[in-house]
Amino acid sequence: MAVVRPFDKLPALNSAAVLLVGSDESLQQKLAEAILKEKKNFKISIHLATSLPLPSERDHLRPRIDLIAFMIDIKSKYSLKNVEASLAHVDASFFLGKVCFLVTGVGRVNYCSVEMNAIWKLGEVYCSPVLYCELELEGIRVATAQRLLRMLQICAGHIPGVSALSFGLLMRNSADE
Amino acid sequence: MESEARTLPSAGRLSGAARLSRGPLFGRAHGRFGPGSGGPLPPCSQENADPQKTAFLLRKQWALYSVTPLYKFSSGKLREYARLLGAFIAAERHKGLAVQVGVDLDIQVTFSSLPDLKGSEQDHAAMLVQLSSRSSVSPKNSEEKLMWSGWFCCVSGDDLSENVPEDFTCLPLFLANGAESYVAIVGSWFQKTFDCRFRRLAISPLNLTWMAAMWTGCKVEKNASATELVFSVPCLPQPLDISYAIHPEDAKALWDTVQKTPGEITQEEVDLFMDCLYSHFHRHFKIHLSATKLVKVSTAIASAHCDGIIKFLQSKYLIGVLMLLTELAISQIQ
Amino acid sequence: MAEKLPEQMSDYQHVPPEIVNESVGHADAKEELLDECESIWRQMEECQSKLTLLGTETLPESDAKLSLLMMRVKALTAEYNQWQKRSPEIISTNPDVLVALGKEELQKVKNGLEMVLSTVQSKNKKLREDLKREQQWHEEQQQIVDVLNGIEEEMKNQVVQFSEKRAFQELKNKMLKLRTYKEELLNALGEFLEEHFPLPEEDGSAKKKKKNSSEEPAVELVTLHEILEILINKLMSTPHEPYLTISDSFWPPYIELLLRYGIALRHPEDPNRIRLEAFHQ
Repeated sequence: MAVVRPFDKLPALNSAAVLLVGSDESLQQKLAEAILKEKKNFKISIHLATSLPLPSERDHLRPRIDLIAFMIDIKSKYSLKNVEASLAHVDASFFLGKVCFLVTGVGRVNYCSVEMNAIWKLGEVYCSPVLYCELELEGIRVATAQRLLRMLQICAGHIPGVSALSFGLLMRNSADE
Repeated sequence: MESEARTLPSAGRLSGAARLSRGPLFGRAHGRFGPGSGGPLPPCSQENADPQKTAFLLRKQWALYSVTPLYKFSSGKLREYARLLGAFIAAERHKGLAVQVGVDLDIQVTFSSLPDLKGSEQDHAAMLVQLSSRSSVSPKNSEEKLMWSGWFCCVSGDDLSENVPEDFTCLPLFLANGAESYVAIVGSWFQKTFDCRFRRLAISPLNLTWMAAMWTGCKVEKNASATELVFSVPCLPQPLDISYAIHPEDAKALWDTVQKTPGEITQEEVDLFMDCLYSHFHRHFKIHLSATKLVKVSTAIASAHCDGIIKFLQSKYLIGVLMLLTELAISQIQ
Repeated sequence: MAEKLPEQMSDYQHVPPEIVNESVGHADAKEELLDECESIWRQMEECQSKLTLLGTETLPESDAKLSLLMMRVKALTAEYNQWQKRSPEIISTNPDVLVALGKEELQKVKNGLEMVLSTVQSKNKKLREDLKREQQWHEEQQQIVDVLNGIEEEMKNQVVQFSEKRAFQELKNKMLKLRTYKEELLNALGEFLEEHFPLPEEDGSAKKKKKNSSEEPAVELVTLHEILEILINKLMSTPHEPYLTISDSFWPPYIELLLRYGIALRHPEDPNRIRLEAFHQ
């Protein structure tokens, strides 16, 4: 199956899955390790992909994806192009709160190869939150991991009364004010 | 697209700038020296500027700095400043050299005004500081040797000059050529005397793409030197640079197909121009240049390095290049 | 349909796991809960099968935002309706289940309260420490006030007894003391300078002499002691013009030393002149 869909499989008990899509594999790896180090009361599976679509032959092994985080490095224009191309392989209903854009390299304006406006627009068009961070700094990496984990819990339906959609709306309102 | 359009005649004011405040600070006026005969340049500068007077600025490497506004600076006191700076340098050179043997170099300091280098009426005249040496051993041979020069300028820096309180002079861009130790000495004197701050001005890869596009669009005479872009590949054990040279006429032809309205450049056009170059390169070498870092752009107009080094090559476009650099300096200060 | 699913799932995932693991004695309670889970799971499977029929939908290239916003409106309306329709679910009346749930709830409350307790305790401790410190400070202040009062009392008495002659005598004594002290200080300084800052060693100066001998006669160097004296005198006698021109008889390292440690200052316009830092001002 070429397109990733949010409800294509039944969920597994007490577990959640996040998919990290980005062209910088070492940063992805670091973030994944930071997420795994966090304390949590559910099983988590982290799937890494440099780009979408995911290979269909391993589709039956993959659990249901609850959250997709697209990683963009402001130092590499390629990372943005890569994410833009991957977005075409995501089912539209994923954008109802289960997608976020993770922008790393923030604060290194002198190395900037990407127009920040383009990234901001991406979040705007796809109605998804844009998280700015610097994954190369340990402290910020840990904080980002915690943030993603919290979002993942909501997206996987582990928090009664809060759906991914309403949470996304909440984030938007606070960001626009 | 609608929000990033940069219109030339309106002194770079930009409608809908509000959303650009989310990006880094280069949302304002870019590239008012467009293609063609350099027409979009502010009228006052180009015609009055005597290419002879600024010729010495060409073909030299200048290190870029941003400078916060100078407090209580007066252009009428340049002679006095020269004397004070000369004494300060002499004192600095005595420091730690008490048991000095050898030739005592006599350093001559001159301050002069470069009134031609401005963009708008509000700009303060540029100021040149030169250090030259005269050997004190043989005073007869009084031929002075230029050791170091640096100049302050502000070209269309209205954004800043309109917003500073009285008693402050805006000369946000400083360019230095010569030993770095003199930048430190001269800088610390200015810092002490005018309560200002110097900072190296790096050029981000994104701004380099703007320069590449804008300079490509400028008309130059035939058999001009090639347009060259240098990329550095990140995350490798050994540094690897890729040089991408393009015939200037080919580059200009490409740019002309990309640019929609002459005299106006948008981010989309710059992106598209670079993407075309990248995909051409990818077709031949299977390398994604977009994943690398653009470190240097050199054209017949000027060459710029991301570490903040510039070389002007054409006096005709000097003001235009300075305008862009002034803007970068201002955005670094703010 | 699709919007309903996440909520049901969250219900499903929230069955307290503890109960599922209860002992054999509560077999029927467990049975009942498992049945409930089964029924929720079946509902989910139903929803799931409907969802799979929906097929995929990717966003169009143009106007992605518009179609996404339309979808969001639809989804949010559905979610809203769902919440409106939803009535509180009645939990099982089975006493075992209720006991287990109650226990869990109480445990949660207990944990929370324990946390509050420890926070309050540490806060109290901090407050006690603060109080102690404040009290101590207060005591000290009180002592200072007492001492000051005593001094005031003494002064009052002295003022009364003051006679002109005695005051004169006292001042004279003080002057004498100061003079001797100044003398002592000057001697100590002189000794110190002689011991630690002698003139450059013979060999050093000899070398210099030799080098310079061809061009100019060697200059007699003066000691640091003398330099300092000249500087002090200059500052004291002509405060409007305290600068001294550095001559060849000053050994450069000593000048450098004075400048480096802020004892002397260079003239702002003439590097060859120095003055003493105005320590007396």
